Formats: sequence, C-alpha cells, structure tokens
Amino acid sequence: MDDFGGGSSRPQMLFKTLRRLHGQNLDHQGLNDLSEAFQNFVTRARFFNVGRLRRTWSHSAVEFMKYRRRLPALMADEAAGSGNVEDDVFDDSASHKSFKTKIDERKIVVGNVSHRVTTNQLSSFFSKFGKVSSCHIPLEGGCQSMYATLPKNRRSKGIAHITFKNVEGAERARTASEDELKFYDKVMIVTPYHLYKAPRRHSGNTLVADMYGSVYSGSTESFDDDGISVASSDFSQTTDMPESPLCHSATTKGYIGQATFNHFPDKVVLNIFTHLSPFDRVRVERVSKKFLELSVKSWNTTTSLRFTADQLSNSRKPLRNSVLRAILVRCGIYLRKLDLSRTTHFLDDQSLEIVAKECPNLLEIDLTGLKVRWTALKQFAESRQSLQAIAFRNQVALGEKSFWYLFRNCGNLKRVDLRGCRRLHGRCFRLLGLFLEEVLLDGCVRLEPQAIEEICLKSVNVRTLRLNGCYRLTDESINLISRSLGDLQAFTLCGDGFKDITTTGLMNLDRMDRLVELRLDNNHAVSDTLIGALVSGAPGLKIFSLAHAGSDTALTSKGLVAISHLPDLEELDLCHLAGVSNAVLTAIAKNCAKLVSIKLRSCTYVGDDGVIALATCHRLQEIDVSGCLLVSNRAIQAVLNAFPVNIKLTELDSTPKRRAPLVAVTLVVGGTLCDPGKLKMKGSRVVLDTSDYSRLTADVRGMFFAAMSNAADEAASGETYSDDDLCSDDEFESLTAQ
Amino acid sequence: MIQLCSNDDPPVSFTVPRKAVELSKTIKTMLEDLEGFDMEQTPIPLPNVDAPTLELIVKWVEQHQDDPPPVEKPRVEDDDSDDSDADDDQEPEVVIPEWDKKFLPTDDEQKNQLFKLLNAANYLEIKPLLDIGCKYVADKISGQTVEWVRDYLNMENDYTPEEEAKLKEEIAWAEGL
Repeated sequence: MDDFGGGSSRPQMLFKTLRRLHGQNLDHQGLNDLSEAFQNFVTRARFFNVGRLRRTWSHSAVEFMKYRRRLPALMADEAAGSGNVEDDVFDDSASHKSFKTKIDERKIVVGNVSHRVTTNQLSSFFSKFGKVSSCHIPLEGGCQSMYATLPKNRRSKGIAHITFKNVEGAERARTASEDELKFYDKVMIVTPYHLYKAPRRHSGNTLVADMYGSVYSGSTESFDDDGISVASSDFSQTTDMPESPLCHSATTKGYIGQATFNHFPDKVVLNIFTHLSPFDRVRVERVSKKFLELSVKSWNTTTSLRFTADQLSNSRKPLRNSVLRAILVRCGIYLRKLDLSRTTHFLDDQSLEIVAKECPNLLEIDLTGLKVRWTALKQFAESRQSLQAIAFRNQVALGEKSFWYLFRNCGNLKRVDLRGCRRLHGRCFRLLGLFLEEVLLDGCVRLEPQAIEEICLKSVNVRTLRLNGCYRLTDESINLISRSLGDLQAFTLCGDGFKDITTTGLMNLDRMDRLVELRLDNNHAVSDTLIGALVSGAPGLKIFSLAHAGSDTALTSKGLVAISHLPDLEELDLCHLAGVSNAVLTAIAKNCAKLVSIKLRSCTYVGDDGVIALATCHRLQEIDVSGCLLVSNRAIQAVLNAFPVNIKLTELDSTPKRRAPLVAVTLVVGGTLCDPGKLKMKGSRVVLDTSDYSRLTADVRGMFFAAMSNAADEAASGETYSDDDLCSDDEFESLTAQ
Repeated sequence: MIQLCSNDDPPVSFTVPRKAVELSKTIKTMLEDLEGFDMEQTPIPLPNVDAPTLELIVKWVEQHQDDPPPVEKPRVEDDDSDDSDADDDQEPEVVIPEWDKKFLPTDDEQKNQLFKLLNAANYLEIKPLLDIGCKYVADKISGQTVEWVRDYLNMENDYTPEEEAKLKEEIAWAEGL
C-alpha cells in the first residue's frame, strides 16, 4: 500500500501527514499507541512475574519513545526539502518509508465485527495470520442508560484495531479471503490503518469519529484510492446484522457530496443541543438513536438549570412534579445550580424530595414559589447539607421553625436570600457561620435586632447585607454592623419606616471604609452631615443611591456637593432631591470621571448648565433627567453632540489598542422642556427616551413602601398567625439547645 | 497572505490574510509548526471543505479578523442590586451578530450549505463561527415537532415503531405543542 502515490494528491498527503502528527482535533495515533502499550502492560502484569514485568514495561516504553523520537525525524524529512517543499518532501526517502512501515503497516482496522466478540477471541482469531501484539475494540461512549431503548452495557462499535508484531501478519490479514475472515456469522472487513476512510454510509460517522477524532471527512471521493473502494464495496457485502444500529440496511439516499446530519461529528450536535431548552432537548431524543444518545450526553455539561416561563410557553402548562422528575433524572447529577423561581409551577413537598434525590451535587437552589411545609424543608435540608446558596423569597407562610431546620443542617451556606419572608425573626442566623457572605432580607418586616446581633457575632465575613424595610432595626444594629462586619461591601437600608434609626445611628457607617455600594433610598435620617461623613469614610464607593432620601431642609446642595469626592463613583441615583443643583452636578461631573449612570428624576432645580456639565463624563451610558422641568433643548443638544458615533482614537483616554466599546447612551427626557423634533440627532450615539419615569417611580415606590409599612404595622400590632409552626421564644431556645 | 485550497477537482484556491486565517485553530497550529517554511507559496489543502463552503469561510474570517480574541475573563463578583441575572456560571448566551445573521446561509434551500459550513468550522476549529452556526440551528429546531426536525436535518428515523411509540409515551410531556 503506497499511499504517497499519484502526484495530484500530494498536497492532500502533506496535510494528512501533518494531521497525523497533530494531537488535539486530529488523529490521536500517538496516544493510541501509548494507551495500547499501557494496556499491554496491564494485561501482562496479570500473568507474569515481576521480572518479566519489568522487561514488558520497558518494551512498551521503548515503543512509545520510538514514536516520540520519530516526530522530529519526520519533521526534518520535510524540512530537508524546504527549498521546494512540494516536490521533494514526498520522495520516498528511506527513513520516511521505514517510519510508515513501522507505524501503519503493522496495524489493521477491522470492520463489521460482531458485538459478541471479545478482545481475546478476536486476537486469537487473527493470530492465524501472524503474531498479534495488540487488539483493541473501541466501545461506544459510555452512556448510563435510563431508558429501555438504550443498551444497558457499553457495546462495541463493530470495529477493532489490531496491531501485528510483523508487517507480514498484517499483510496476510489484509489479503485474506472472505472465507478466512468469517467470524460469528459475519464477514469482517480488513483495511489498512492509515487508509481507513468513511464508507459513504450510515455507519460512517462512528468510524470517522473514531479514526480522526472529530474530523469529518464527508466527501472523500477526491482522493479515493483502491483501499477505500475495497472497503466500501466490502461493506455492502456484509452478512447483515439487523439489530445493530451501525450496520444498517443500506441507504444510499444521496449522501455523496451532501452534508447530512447523520454524518455530523458529535461535537457539533452536542454544541447545538447545549443551546436548546430542556424541553427541546428532551424532545429531540425521538429524532433518532444517535440524537437520543447525544441528547442524554449533552446534559453532562449542564451545571445550571433554570426553568423560565418562555420554555414552557409552547405548552402553557405549569411545571409539574412528574416533568421536574423526568428532567432531573437526566441532568440531576450534573447540576450545581437549580432555579425553580421563574416559572409557574405546581411544585410542593414532593418536589423537594425529587430534588433531594436526583441532584446530589447541588450547591445553589432557588425555591421561591414552592408551597412547602416545614417538615419537607427539614427533610430536604438534612439530605443536602453541602448547599451553599439558597433563595426562598416571599414565604409569608413559613415561620421561624422552618428556617431554623434549614440553617441547622446547612451550616455552610454562603448566600441566603429570604426577601419578603415576613414572619422571619432572624434568630436562626446564629446557626450559620463564617461562610456566610451574602444576606438579603429585604422586606422581612419582623426581623429583629437580635438577628443582626447573631450575624455580627457568628458571620463576620458578610459582604452583602440588604435590609430594606426591616423596620424593627435600631441605631444599635447599625452600630454593631459597622463594628463587626469590616468586609462589608454592599449595604442597603432603604425605606421610610425606620422608627428607631436616626442620623446619629447612620453616622456609624463611616467606619466601613470598604463599602462599594450604599443605598439609602427613602431613608429619612439622611442629612448633609451624614453624606459628608460617609464620603470621607468610604472613598471607594461605586454605587450610591439616595433617591427620596432625607428631607428638603436636611439634605441640601451643600451636602450633596461632597459626593464629588468619590472618584470611583459609577452609579448615582439622586432622584427627587431638591438639593441637586447645577453646582452639584458640575462638581460631580468634574471629579467623577468614571460615572456610568446618573438618575436625576424630578430634580426640579437642575438646569441646562448642570446637564451640559455632565456631558463631559465620557463613560456615561445612562442619563435620566425625566421630570427635570428646567432642562431645555440647549442642554439635550449639548449631550447629543458630546457622544458622537465615531470617536477619533486620539480622543480616547485609554490606550488606543483597547478600543473603548462605543455603547449607546440612553437619555431620558420625558417631562422636560425638551422638544425632540427640533434636535439634531445625526451622528450621535445617544438614544432619546421620551418617557417620564419620575411619576412612575414616585407612584410605585409609594405603593411599595406603603404596603411594607402596612405589613410592619400588622407585625407591630402583634397580630398572630394561627399556624402550627410559629415558635414562641421558649420553644426556639429549646430547639437551639437540641 | 496564505493560500487555501478546496477539495474540488481542480482545487479552487483562495488567498487570505494570515491574520484572518489564524482564526482557525487547526490552521494556526499548523502554521506554527511549520514555522520557517515559506507558507506564502504553499497552498494549504483542505480535504474536507469544498469551494462554496470555503468561500463562505474565507468571507467570515476576513470579516472577523479584527475581532478581539474571546478572552476568558474572570467573572467579577458583581452583586448587582436586584434579583435579576446573578447567574454567573450560566453558560454565556451566544448572540448572533447582525452581520453574521445576514452571512449565514439561512434559506431552507441552503440548509445543506449551512451544515457543510458547520462541519468545516468544526474541522478548522473556528469556535465562534461554530457557536453561532449551532445557535442558529438550535433556534431553528427549538419548539418544533420531531418530524419537522427530522426533515430539516435530513435525519433518518432509525427506531422501530415499537421503540418509537414507547419513547413517545415516555417523553410525551416534552412534546405537547
């Protein structure tokens, strides 16, 4: 078999040679040899004593080294002809030839092997042609079958690789007649290793995938030679094996020159499947056996599953336990993250059992919306102790006891999201430890100062703490937080119902010098002095939100000017503050060059000059001046001009190599004097939004906080829930003592 | 400039800037290994790619040659305010850019061309092209019936009727369209 034949195919041969040398996507021959050598070694190790063993090992090692050493030799062969690569490289120089002989000629590929044949049987069968040094039957990718339609065990692909000790053995096997190759009622097909190509048939894909990694050789006819034609004609003579998916009855339907999905490399199909929603992914299982196999396989890259409403919109059916189980059976063991909150569902106690059973490796879960009882939650927590994050929002029915069981078993929780759990008192936080990093408790109106004490005592590593609307907190809580949680980066305390929090209490926040995000929307206790203290205390602030905060007399432009001392500021919300003036904006624009977003809804004292000053912040992406009654076309036009579509590279402050992304700038102008019809928009990347959000936010916020304070009042008025799981103080103490 | 040859007879060759052609990992590794040769003169044969497909590939790599390389940026811990996308380990959603939308052979008559393109992108290891192509196909088959998918992908049903009936029953919940 001289594969370096006809001149016309030389370029292809060059490529083939290179491909053979290459790892990765290409032919893994070197690796095959190594793994085979190792297999040899292991097999022998079972039968021979240590002395023989050592020799065997060195033999295998030598074989591998030989291969490694030949790599540069072959490369050098090609380099020798560098003057005229095309003509000289493929002269059958002695060394080159010998390389080919050793590596390829001893090896054959056998097709149409019965699935019942074992490696030993096959190797003894072929030993009649010469001494067999190794025999390998590749198995189909192991798929743990959960369906009756898939075979339970890994079966062979119907092909085998056999390496003879001598070239002659392989030669004899290749030239053997059909009768000689009959084994288990099937006539096997022998092809030389290096020449093996996909027969243009159904069964091709597995073979090709095996031989060339994921390289697909769809249209091979251009460099066909005898070897292949033999192979394919032989294939059509196969003495059939109806139950095998690989040896199908011939379907000649125009595969030649036409890419069909049957021939696709698994990698491509898997890539496609990963873009499909869970439901689509299950549905394609019925397309064909290959799809079933790959669809099942595609789950193992899925570590995070999130049910969203649109995935179900086709059927418009709520998620049920049976469906949840069917999906989790497929992907449960790979899942690290599961989110059940974004879809309509009928999930209950039983769902928790399913999740606990099918998802052993789960680290994060969002159970918002599940209707569960504390018993189920207790059971779940007991089986999933490694949980790191849990979200369970708006559980108005669950009381302290449920969370107590949850926290007791999952002591390693990092993130806890219990927003809107109105009945939570929070003393269960004593059960969580140093792992805790993020605590979201917005709207937990009954949260007691004691909860903060527990967090500050036990979990000093908390980085994010959101306590919007936790109206029972006091100045002392703030003091504790600022003393104990030195790593705190994000802190929010929005809401206008904090009766026990004063400006003096908030002043303690100036100790927290690592703060990056601070939101005090609607908080009445905000004042000029507080801003001054905060700005000097936490100079690294990036996000600062003060909408509706303070009162017109306590929070004035004098205090707000201090914000300009925050050089890292990126996001600023100053909606509905009478203190915001042109002078404030000018100062901020001058010093906060990193500003990305600024909201100034209903800042009625802001005029054109302030907005024009803002236009000098080149990183701005969002400017909201809706409801600023004094802002006119002059300012808007200035902003439009300040953000042209094309920036000359010289204007960029950053290095010219890193092209600053030219993102659109949103400018909200509803409720201003601006008349969009008279603006020149051409050449600007500013997108005008003419809606007026100022009213909207005022209304929504009003409603939100009203609802919240109602709930707080409810809670305050001592209205009790008649539920069974409401713990009294004594009961809680006894639970903790357990 | 590098020359690429299709597998047609006679081969059609394309001349592509080296920078563009290096979007293909396969070719890039090859060029790196053949450092020192005058690769400008040697056409690189691509035995698995035919001329129309290669033309598309060349068009695509020329368009995207200046794209910043997809850097594995370490996820910054962004604890953004509201409950929305805190999904950091979710696989980043592939978005097909405008230009590529027009570029992809999306007509139904051209679907074979699309599949060939995917194949070639896989073979040449042009990951971004493979991703957008796969994303396109995924969008196309999502929400469709099994029969439609089979027809679209030229797949053959290799289940026996009994097997298929059984499977259909098992996954009936996913099929309710």
